[in-house]
Amino acid sequence: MVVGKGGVGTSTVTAAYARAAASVGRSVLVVDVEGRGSLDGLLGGGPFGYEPVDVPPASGAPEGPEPATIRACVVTADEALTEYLRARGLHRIARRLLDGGLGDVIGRGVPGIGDLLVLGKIRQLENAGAADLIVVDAPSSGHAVSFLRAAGGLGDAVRFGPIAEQAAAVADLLADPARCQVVLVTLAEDTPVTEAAEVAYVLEDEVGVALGPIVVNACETIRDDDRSPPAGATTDAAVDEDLAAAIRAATAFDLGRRRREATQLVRLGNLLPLPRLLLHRRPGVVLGPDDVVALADDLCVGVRELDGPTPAAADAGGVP
Amino acid sequence: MTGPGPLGALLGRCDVVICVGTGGVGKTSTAAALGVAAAEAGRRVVVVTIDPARRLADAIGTGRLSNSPSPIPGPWPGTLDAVALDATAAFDDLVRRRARDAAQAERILTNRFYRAIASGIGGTQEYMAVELLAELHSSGRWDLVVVDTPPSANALDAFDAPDRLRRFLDHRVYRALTASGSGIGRVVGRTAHGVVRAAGRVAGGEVVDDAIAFFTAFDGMEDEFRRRAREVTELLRAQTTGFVLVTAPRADTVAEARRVVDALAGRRLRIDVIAANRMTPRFTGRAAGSLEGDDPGLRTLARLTARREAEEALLVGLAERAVDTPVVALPLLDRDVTDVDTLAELGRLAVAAPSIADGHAGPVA
Repeated sequence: MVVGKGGVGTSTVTAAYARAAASVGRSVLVVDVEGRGSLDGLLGGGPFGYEPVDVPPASGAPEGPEPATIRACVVTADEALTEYLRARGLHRIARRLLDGGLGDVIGRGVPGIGDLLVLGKIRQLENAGAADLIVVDAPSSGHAVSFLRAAGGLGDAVRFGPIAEQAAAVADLLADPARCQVVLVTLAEDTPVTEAAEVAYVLEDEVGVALGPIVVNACETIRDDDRSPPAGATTDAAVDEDLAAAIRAATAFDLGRRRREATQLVRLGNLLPLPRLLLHRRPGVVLGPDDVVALADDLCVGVRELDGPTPAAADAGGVP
Repeated sequence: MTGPGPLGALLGRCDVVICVGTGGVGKTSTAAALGVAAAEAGRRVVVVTIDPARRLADAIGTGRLSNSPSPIPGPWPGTLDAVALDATAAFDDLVRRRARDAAQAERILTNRFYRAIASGIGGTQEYMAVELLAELHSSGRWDLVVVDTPPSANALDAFDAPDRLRRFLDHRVYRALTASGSGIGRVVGRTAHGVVRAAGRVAGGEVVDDAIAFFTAFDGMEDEFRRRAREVTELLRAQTTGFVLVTAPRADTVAEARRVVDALAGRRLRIDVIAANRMTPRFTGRAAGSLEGDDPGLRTLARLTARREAEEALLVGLAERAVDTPVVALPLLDRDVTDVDTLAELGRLAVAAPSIADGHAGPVA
């Protein structure tokens, strides 16, 4: 489950995780629970639907063993509800329920039922062996916690009947670290770091789901060779005064950002003692499959460093 | 100082400004910055924030959730108050105010179905934000109410909240359950209703029992809720209510902004200004492509300029789509927006920012 507040890049990290896992030979099913199409451009091959389809292989992937397949699908609450109703002999009424806006009323009447049905569908995919690894792009905004809380909340509120069974099965999945982990995504900025720490404690204490490494997305500096030159390092005498001033302003801005990033990474480490994986900020604004391949490479390098023998390696990207 | 840009003009002509947008774009700080800017222009302003990040909340004195505004002192000719919405408490208050008597209020407030609705699921926060806005607006204590909306995945939720509540109250299930007054015998009879039966099969009978108990307890209050929802809708549509869509220069948020612009075309609501927050500053008038060389400083300038150009390209696409809606660019500051001084700086930049369709996207830093 890839979880993060809006704007931190959970879809990008979801896609990168899928590519990284496939590159080491694990078949992957990517599940989008919002159906906004945010994964289409990142993975290529969309738009995706309820039935999983193959994602085309990455072009220009690094040499090495043939990557495993990646498939992707969209599981929204409405579709999960339709399938759920059909499976319970309510096929005929399913369409009427949804057309009449009753999905909305059931959703309101039984808060969290949509989330629970989506999680139930994911559990069913896991149970059916749909892939070696299922990577879920969890809802963004503040919704991720209530999404994962749905099973526990409904399990408490509804003690009998089909929903109670569904809630219990999902709760088992979330509570088993061998089956399910949350990958928190954040940015090395003040508010995202604070929120990631808050969400982490809520997920561990209230949802009881295990946390994997935390992913810090869009970092300017990961390793020493990423560092920018010091402000005012211009040596080229040929530049005019306007350009020299622009260079000073730009390098000062860049340096300021990197300093704040380093400060926030230290803060994150203090607030949240989890292993972490740092991803480079990509140069473009609209990211595509090539960016995802590069980020998957960052993930693989990061994972190797986490597994590596030297404590220094695990601290790469820390304070200069 | 240059004349006001689209945001400055909007602050001048509106008595309500509502900031909408997806999470993570700096919507709360934009709303607070607009509030500070209006106070600097001499107006009496109240800012309604929702779930502000802690350090920002501390800065504007809304560290504690409370539905009554508290003043923020500052060196401005106007006044500035802030309130951080506690939607659950606000909804409880509303029920208490509108209930016939304390016993009816108590029956509703302790109902599990009600608690689930009131704890923020399914648009309650959005509805309570507009409800509080209407209350503050009609109090006459302020010239301008600036509202931050909840970090919804769908920027349109805030617009739809009053209508959704009305639709909910008008829904045939609700009507079937409450049509002929209350009374446990009738309620039991009504559970034969096909739709209710289906809901029971999906969710279990217990849930339906809770829902019926809620609707029964609610009986008689829905007219008042309906009337209020209509009033709030009218306020949202008033000429003096302005909407600012806050976005950020990222593909996903711009795509969402584009969806909002398209969706609004078919409604009687409009976005007045699109504010693109956290733009990479522009350091030079030159194009990134002309900044060639091995000099490390020049390479940094070229990289940031290329990023700015890509961000502007995203926004130009959005501006072309939103024909009559100006798009303004607010720069990423060199520090986090966690104090009033920084809010004031962001506010000044916001009111002066020109529309990017006017040929340039803000001054060179």
